[in-house]
Amino acid sequence: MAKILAIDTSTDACSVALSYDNSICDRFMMAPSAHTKFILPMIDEILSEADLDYKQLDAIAFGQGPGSFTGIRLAASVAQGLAFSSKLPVIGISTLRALAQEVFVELGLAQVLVAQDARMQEVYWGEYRADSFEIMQAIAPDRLIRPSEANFDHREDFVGIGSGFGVYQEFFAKNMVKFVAKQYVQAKYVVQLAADDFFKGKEKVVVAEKALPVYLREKVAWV
Amino acid sequence: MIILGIETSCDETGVAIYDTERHLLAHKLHSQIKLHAEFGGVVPELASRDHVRKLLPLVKEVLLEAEITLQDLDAIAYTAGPGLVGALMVGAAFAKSMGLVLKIPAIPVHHMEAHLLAPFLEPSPPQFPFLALLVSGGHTELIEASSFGEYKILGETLDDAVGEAFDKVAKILGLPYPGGPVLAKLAEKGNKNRFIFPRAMLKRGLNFSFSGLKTCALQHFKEFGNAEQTKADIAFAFQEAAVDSLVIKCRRAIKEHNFTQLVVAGGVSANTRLREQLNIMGKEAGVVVYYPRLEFCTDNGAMIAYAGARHFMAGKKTDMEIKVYPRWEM
Repeated sequence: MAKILAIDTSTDACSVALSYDNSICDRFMMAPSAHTKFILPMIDEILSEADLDYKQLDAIAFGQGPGSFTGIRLAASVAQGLAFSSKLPVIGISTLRALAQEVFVELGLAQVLVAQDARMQEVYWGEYRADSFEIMQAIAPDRLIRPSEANFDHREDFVGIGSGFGVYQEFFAKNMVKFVAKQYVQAKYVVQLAADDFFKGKEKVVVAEKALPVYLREKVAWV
Repeated sequence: MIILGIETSCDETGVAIYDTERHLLAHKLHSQIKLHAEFGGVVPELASRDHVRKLLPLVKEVLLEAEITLQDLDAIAYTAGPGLVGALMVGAAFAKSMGLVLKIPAIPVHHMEAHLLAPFLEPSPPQFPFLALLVSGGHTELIEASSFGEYKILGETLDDAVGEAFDKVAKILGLPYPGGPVLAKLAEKGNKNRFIFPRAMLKRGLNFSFSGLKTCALQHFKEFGNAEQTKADIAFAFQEAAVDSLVIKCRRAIKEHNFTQLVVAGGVSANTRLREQLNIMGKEAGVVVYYPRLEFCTDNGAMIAYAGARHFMAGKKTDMEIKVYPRWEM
């Protein structure tokens, strides 16, 4: 397994994970508005415990978004700083995909629709299915939609996850039988997915300056 | 020692490399003016998004230009405040993460202290103690700089910053964003004798007020119309009053505290009329006036690198927390 350090600060949770020697270790804590305080000490700690230096890693991964703008920008900036200084490539992982991977690993749900609350009557929407290697893959691009724009055709067997299903419960209840309340992204799933991307040598493995957040909401200012 | 300086507090991404022996080795700046122009002001979220795109490419450029590698760096300095929290956080997170890997300190720098130290990047710098006039879109302060790290605010604006007043009046006159420098240019064509605007709080104290002056400009604009010449006349009268207020308070501070040097910094220190009048006042009062070179009047990475170098030499300790202080008192 590739040696990858992953971080995520896209939600109120703050987490780091490290894959090496066919195992994954991680740190996870709730840290609303305090990611800046904990993220670097957590990274430092997990590497020291594994007795690894940055230069021995194969890549840096980060929860790329969608999520809190400040949070995903923090993760991108940290990923850039770490990767540039240690001459490592970066892998950005969709936070929706990481949530999907989590419920697959923990609950065995192989087909999920992810809806994270994006405020302003919108959700970040993702559609995921596990492949034969037990890795969640997108079957449609992540996007920003109004709940009413969600398409449930051929999605009858899918289970909903994410904060959006709670917030827009009234709407989603009409269309979906089942949803699981999961909303805090964990780096240990980011690192699993990154290891898969790294193994496949996807175009997702990029140089540090290409490690940029994926906001999905592009219009943020009005004249 | 060699230090990388990073500035991301507002709408410019600035990066520089400073060497305490060879001085400034390289500096680069990316301005976001075009990005914010259609909104008539800085949009914080857009500013943050641009910093995260531009910062690392600029860092690579300065390393190349300075002909050094990452291993040559002894420290990194970043603007920790005051400024826009999201924008500050980009520079802070990047700097701290680099510091962690390279095992060198990432030093938080006060943006206004860095402005105040910018003239030290020039060949014949001032020496402590001195009086500093910090004038920009966010600040108007008279500061007693007794020694490095020891500053006392003697006077400040009670309402608008002077640069803010320039920009607002420019907006009233329908000038393109950011209006301050455009207004100064227009003032050159103004009739000196047509309007005279009041100077606020002249009688005593070292504080400033510019919002009344802005209102005065607005009233004149409404009353006398928007003919090109009238706009130039208003621009002239506004600039004269604003500059006069700054000069008068400087002169008073110099007299009261017996300063022999005046340092002028911040975006408005690029204003030609202000420089003329301060130079005249300086001669009369027997004070040497120092300015940064024009490109270092506005936000830049060079002043951050320089300020960081001084803190490094003074033995400032750092930790792993990504610290930003959006409202950092000096």
